Amino acid sequence: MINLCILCEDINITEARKRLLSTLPGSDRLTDIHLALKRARGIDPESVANHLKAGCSPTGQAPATHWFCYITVDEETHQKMLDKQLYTIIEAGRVPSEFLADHGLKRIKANWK
Amino acid sequence: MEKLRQQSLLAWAQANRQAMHEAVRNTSVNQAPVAAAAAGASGVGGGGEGRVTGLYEVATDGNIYSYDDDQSQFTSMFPEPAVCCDRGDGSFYYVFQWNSTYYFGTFNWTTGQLTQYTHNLDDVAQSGNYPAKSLYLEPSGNLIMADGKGNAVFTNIIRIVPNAVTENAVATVVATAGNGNEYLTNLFTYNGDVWGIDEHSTTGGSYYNIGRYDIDRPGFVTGYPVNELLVYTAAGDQVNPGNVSVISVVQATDSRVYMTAFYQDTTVTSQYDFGIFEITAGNTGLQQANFQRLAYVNNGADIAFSLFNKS
Repeated sequence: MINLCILCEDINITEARKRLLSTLPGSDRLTDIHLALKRARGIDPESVANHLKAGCSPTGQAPATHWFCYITVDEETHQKMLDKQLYTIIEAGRVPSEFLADHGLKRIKANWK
Repeated sequence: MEKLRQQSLLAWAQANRQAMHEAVRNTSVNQAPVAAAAAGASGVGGGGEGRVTGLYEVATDGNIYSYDDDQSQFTSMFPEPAVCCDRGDGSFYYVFQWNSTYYFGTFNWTTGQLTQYTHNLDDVAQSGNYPAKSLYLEPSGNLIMADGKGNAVFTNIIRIVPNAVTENAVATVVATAGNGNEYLTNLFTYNGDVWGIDEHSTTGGSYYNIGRYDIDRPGFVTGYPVNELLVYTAAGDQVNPGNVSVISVVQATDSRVYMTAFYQDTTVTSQYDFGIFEITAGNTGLQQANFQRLAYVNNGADIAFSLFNKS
């Protein structure tokens, strides 16, 4: 298993999400019931908008200048993602907060009170 | 024939319920909520035996609701699917994601106060389309969370050590579960032991196994029975295992085990539904999930997505 940090600039996010969608881990695991569950929850399984969703910026304030995600995959998926990626930075074995700090970024967080 | 077998199992479970109560009362670990229920204590919304509470995934008005006899309403807002577990002191721990970032803390039933802890969950748990799917308390007061809902292949089992004084929590990965064919869908405690549910994918379809689970070496505990989880509709018909998606499992305050699942009842309408099931035990442990009610509340506008007990 490999932990991946994935980062993309906001200007390329749509294309990056499309490329990510085709290599997502587990997409072939989704049976009819899983797909139906996603739809019942209002999630379009085919939508690229479900991925790379963590907004980041240099200040940690909106708007997002970059988008980030952190996932656990196997080596085969890792290689497939590396082969397909164009607009993303993919690094394995990194701690997300350190990875983002190295890129001068902070997560944009909400304050639920 | 199948109905007769189910009725027989139900009769067995009912006959053994009192014994299970006694066994649970005599179990020393993590049983404060059970003791409270046995003593007739009641919490928000009244009720009593069998207290199990569900959260709406996202209510249309942004609120979360308790799911009990009164279906009483919370006053605070949770933005996305949350997993929760009772602290036994009038509050519960929650974990949820908002825009792929984790939030962890406590929620007080009475005051409605939502407290956010400082934590490092974002450094250890999968983000993106992968919010948490299970959360339970260890006897030490630490929590175990399982990430990887959605279409993740692997599940990180994460220990969260909270500090109520500093409102800080430190999370570490205990182990990672999953091997391509087996997918850990839930962790929960049952009579003091950790139990898990694995989804198995085969060329012939998928099915679920349930049994005692070892979080340190992810997999079912060697030497204990592992059962295929059988799911039954209100009419007593077995649901095709491939037409079930287990969502949330918890042992309620009266020791019964409840599950929310998304399922398709092909014997009636073939419609998909969210249901709440009670998982009853056979001779080899938890095995059979019997339909209790649909998991819709608020006049059907919302779904009790995550279950947790409430003392």
